[in-house]
Amino acid sequence: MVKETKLGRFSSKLLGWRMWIQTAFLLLWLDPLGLRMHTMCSPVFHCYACPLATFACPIGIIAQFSALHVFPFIAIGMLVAVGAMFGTLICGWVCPFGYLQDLAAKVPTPKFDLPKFTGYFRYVMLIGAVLAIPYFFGEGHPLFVCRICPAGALESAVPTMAGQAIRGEKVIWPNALKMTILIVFLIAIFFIKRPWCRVLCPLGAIFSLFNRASAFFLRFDAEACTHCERCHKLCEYGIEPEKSPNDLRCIRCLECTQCSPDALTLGSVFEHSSSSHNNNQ
Amino acid sequence: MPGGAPGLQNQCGAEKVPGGFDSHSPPPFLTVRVRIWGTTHRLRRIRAVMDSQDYGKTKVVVLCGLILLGGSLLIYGTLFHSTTVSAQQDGQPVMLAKSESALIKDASVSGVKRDETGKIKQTYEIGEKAPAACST
Repeated sequence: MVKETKLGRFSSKLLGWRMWIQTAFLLLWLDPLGLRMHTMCSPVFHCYACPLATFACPIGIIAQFSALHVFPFIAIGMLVAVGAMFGTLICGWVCPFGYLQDLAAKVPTPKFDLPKFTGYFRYVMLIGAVLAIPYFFGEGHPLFVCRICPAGALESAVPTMAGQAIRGEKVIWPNALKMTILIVFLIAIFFIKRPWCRVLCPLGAIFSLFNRASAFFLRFDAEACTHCERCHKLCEYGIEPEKSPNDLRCIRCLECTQCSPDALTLGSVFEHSSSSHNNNQ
Repeated sequence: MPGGAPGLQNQCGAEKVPGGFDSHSPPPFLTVRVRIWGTTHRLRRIRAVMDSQDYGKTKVVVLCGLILLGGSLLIYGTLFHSTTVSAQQDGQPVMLAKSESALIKDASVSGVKRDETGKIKQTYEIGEKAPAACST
């Protein structure tokens, strides 16, 4: 049996405050001081063309640098360091685009689940639209990630069009594919929980690769587990946490840690455990 | 098993096929299926090792390695990495060495592009203001 840890108890207390923590992080990403520090990337999915963007989007920078045939040391270094520490904890607790989807999911509409294989499309998006297409065809290609990204459409294109309309200028519409993806996204977020994160997010695809090796992880105690499968119901993303606690599809919202036998807790490599039995990671 | 296992006496070179010894080599698709099964089986074993306690110490080493790698890339990119960019000043071409941070800022507003010759060009003249937003 695993000894209860400080981190596990702390994360249990924080769970009820998750949305407030996500709101607090908005103060970091939405540039309240007008600093526009676009010389640095953030580890979250937030379009740098947004009028309220403090930092540059790491996916946009990786794609732009791929088009320039220059290796993005800063973006990759930051993602590797943050991913190795936290994995997809960033997705579940910090990312503003994920937060937007969480807010939309609160609307009482029927919710549908997605087949498991849809999670692999994120890697197709990462390899295709972020790396290969910019590298071989340049930034002007219609499938360049920024040209189809709903975050860019929602956070940049829509405010820009609104500003043009208010000023009485000619409104320049984004391309048809971007508009279609945006409309599908805006409908999907009310009927599917975190559709972008689960199906197409290339940043989540990168962070998910670190889930099994990150400093912070989901600890599963097989001895405490009563196989009640309550964690299946607590998980909102179709994962079976007791079978795959650090699944590639997991966004580490930590809802499954509410399971009453405390078989699932947040763990870290910095803890000392006096348990003589293994805690599966 | 009386008579030994099916196959050549030296148990060498015979493909194991359902039903026992067959002197003919199996069709190519069966070999591929065996290989795919072997790969899947190996991946499952790797995953089981990763989930075991023995992996804990290895995981710390891997983790430290990743953080070191990420930190090194970050420091190199921030302090040392630069790229040669061609720009226009008063109609004359000039070559600039841009730090990666400056390149990130320019890339975020489509201020740099790669031309057909493979050179990176600044899309606005020196002295002019950079574009206000990304062209995408």
